[in-house]
Amino acid sequence: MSDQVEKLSRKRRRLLVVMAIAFIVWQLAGLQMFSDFAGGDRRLTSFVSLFAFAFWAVTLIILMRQRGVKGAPPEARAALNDELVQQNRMRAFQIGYWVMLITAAMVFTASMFVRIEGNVAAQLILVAGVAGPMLAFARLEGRDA
Amino acid sequence: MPDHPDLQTALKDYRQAAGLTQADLAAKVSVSRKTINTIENGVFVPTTVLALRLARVLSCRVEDLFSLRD
Repeated sequence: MSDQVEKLSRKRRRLLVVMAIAFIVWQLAGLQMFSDFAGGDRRLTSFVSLFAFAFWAVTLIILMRQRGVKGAPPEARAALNDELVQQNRMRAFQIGYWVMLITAAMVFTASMFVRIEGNVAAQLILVAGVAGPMLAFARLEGRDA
Repeated sequence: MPDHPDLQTALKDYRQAAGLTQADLAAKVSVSRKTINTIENGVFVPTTVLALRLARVLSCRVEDLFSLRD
């Protein structure tokens, strides 16, 4: 059972990292400011954003349908949500909170030098708030693996 | 980095004395092998419930498994 638990845990970690990256790309590629960086080619960033969204949606469905433990025995399911996992999840949210605060501070500081729209600032903080805990959880779960 | 540097554990000694691997012990108390590993390394401090389960499986007292450094 231990091998199965570790395999499923690795799968969940990888899925979370992929989802976080896809979410970041989806959100950031849709911003006008990144179109400007890409040489003003709005079609390219739109395509990247759409592709990342589709990828993110598929991984989300996989994660929600299977929760990474489809077909696993009850003992393995319990082991995949044991005390250490719960603690890591809690810590990941704490890290996400600080990532959001730091992002907000960075956006605020940057807004003194460049014009940043309110919706863009909100989107950047949202991206940090969503992707931060996901990546932090994957990192914490990867410790001592 | 240990959560509680003052806490020391003899879990590894008791587990090895019982002839169990980390995976065996993990299966008996329904946690992952990694959780047992992090407890043995002092990285993770289990709840009272898990500590009691470990003590029951290893036929000892919780105080035998966990104690405070002098």
